[in-house]
Amino acid sequence: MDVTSIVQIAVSGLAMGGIYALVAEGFYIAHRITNTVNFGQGDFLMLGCFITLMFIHLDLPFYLVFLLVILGLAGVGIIFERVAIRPVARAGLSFLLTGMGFAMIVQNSVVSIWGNHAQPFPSFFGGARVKAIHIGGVGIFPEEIFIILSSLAVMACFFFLLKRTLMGKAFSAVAYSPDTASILGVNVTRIKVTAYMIASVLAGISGFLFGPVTTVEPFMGLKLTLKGFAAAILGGFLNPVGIFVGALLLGLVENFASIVTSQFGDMMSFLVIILVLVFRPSGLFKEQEE
Amino acid sequence: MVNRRMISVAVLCLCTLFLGTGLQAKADDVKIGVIMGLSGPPAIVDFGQAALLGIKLAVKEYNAAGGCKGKPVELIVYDDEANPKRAVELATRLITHDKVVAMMGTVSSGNVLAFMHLNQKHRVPLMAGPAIASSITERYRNEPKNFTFRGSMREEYQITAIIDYSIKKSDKIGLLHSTSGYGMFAKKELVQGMKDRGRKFTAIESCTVGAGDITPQVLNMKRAGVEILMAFAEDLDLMVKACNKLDYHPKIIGNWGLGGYKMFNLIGQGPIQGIMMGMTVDISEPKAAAADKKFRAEYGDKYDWPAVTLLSYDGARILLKALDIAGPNPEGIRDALEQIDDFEAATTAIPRKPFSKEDHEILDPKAVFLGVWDGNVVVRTKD
Repeated sequence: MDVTSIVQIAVSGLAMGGIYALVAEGFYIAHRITNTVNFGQGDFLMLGCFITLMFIHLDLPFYLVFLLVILGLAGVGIIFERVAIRPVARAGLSFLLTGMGFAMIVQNSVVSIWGNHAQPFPSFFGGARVKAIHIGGVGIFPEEIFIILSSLAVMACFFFLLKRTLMGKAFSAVAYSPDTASILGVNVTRIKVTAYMIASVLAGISGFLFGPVTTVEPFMGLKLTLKGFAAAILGGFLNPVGIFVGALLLGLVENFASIVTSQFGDMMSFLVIILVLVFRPSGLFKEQEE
Repeated sequence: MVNRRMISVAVLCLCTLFLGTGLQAKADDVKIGVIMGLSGPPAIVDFGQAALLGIKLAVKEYNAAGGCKGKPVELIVYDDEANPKRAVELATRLITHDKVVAMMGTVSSGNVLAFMHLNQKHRVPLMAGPAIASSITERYRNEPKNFTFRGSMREEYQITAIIDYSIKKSDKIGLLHSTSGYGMFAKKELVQGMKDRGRKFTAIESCTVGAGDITPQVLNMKRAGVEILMAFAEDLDLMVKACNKLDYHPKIIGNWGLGGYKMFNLIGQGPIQGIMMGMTVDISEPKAAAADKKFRAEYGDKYDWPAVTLLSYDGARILLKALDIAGPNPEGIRDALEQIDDFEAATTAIPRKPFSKEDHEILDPKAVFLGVWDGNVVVRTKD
């Protein structure tokens, strides 16, 4: 394979990896703080796509659309935590069922409002459709560069929040021991709500970024949930840096596997994940120490 | 207390029962059952909604003209959710509970293949469609009476048209198919079709439904020098995007799914120009144009897939014509379908005598052609 093809595949893989990373970090934050797993992450991404589309059709500028998507998904995260997670917090694995139920409600609401069809998505950079630019024989959509850079920026903000702010310390305290954190004056409920809010916002941002380069339809979420979850497992579920690297790796593995053979669908990438887990059961990166 | 509660529940049950009875169709109505994919994957729903429009208008016109010897025809429509198990349950319900005289549907070929034995067993005719699998009309072909007809496209017909055209134009032909049931089935037929003509695909690539990106697969096509790319996948807009990204411009030919306005809107008027597909309806012909105009007036923007809607419309109309001849007698309707020889279809793709004992396909195979997007309409290819 020539260098141009390798670069081409790598760029496309990194763009997909960037999306997986945002979804996977949502898994991380919700799991870290509340010990639950939100299997609606992919559907929140889908909702992010449709909300973006709705505001684009109102001819709002993109920065405003971005802000509205963040606000909208933050609201969804709060509602999700309140109605689907908190009431069953002490009921074992019930949150899996309520979480998936909430995701189905989101799916069906989207179908009711926008219809059960794939939706055309305009380019962020003008025009009804994405247009590629070509550099040295490698084609890339400007949106893909945007995805890679934005996912890096969002990750940087995310890490800053976790490591350098008081809220990040509160997150760590609640993750370590909610009771102790409570004694120390941390509002544990508020921190848990915030964790879900951040997870939803990350999914919303990934929906905003992903819409122009993919097929946007109401049932796109489940696959992205699985991929995001796989990325989180690959990187090490309790290490945000590992998750980020794992997600990028998953995007790359998927694309390079498809170049070798596409006949097995997603099997090749999941095979790689299984092999990694055989040798490193906790993922590529160890749990990060608080 | 318990007794009161039990009485309340019993009263509620009785009320529900009476209400249900009240909502049921009048006993006098002649019932035709429709199983259709109306929820689930968008590719299924698009077909289902388009087909249902055609069926509904045919029944509306029939009832307006007096119905079946004065009795109106009632359509009982059930959504199979693209789920074969549910399709079987619904077919059982239509036949044994609703007592329909004939059935139509559904989108997924797998679903039709799952329930059609019930039509054969209970001797209730089925006008299958828009399910496309060639095997649907073959399974009971050698039975004394085959109760399955098709009022839609047959995969083999469009595949023949696509392969015959492609091998005339190029030696470098590629296939991109999805790993869905339909995609795998289409691959099998296409590979066999090429083999029967002594040819092989230059490259075969697959993609999962809902794949976020298929750049690697399209890059492989480009590297193999593929000039004609046969596309039998659900996410065709992703393929067009990947071609754009790779500055790769093969001739794209796909199934008749590429001929609808949802696909037109999704891919965009610019990129869709020149994309070809198996097609049955040429809107520029006067008969089809008149039917097209009628549907636009009736349904407006909801009417967005002329080929599927018009074929379903004709499928329903011929079924109703058989009902007129035989009355509400399922086996009589089946027999009449094979005998009708003066059918005036809305499109030229359907002969005056569509069905016979040996042929249960509504389409004349020679009428299937390759369509191409030209502006905002699909026209017959010139080359």
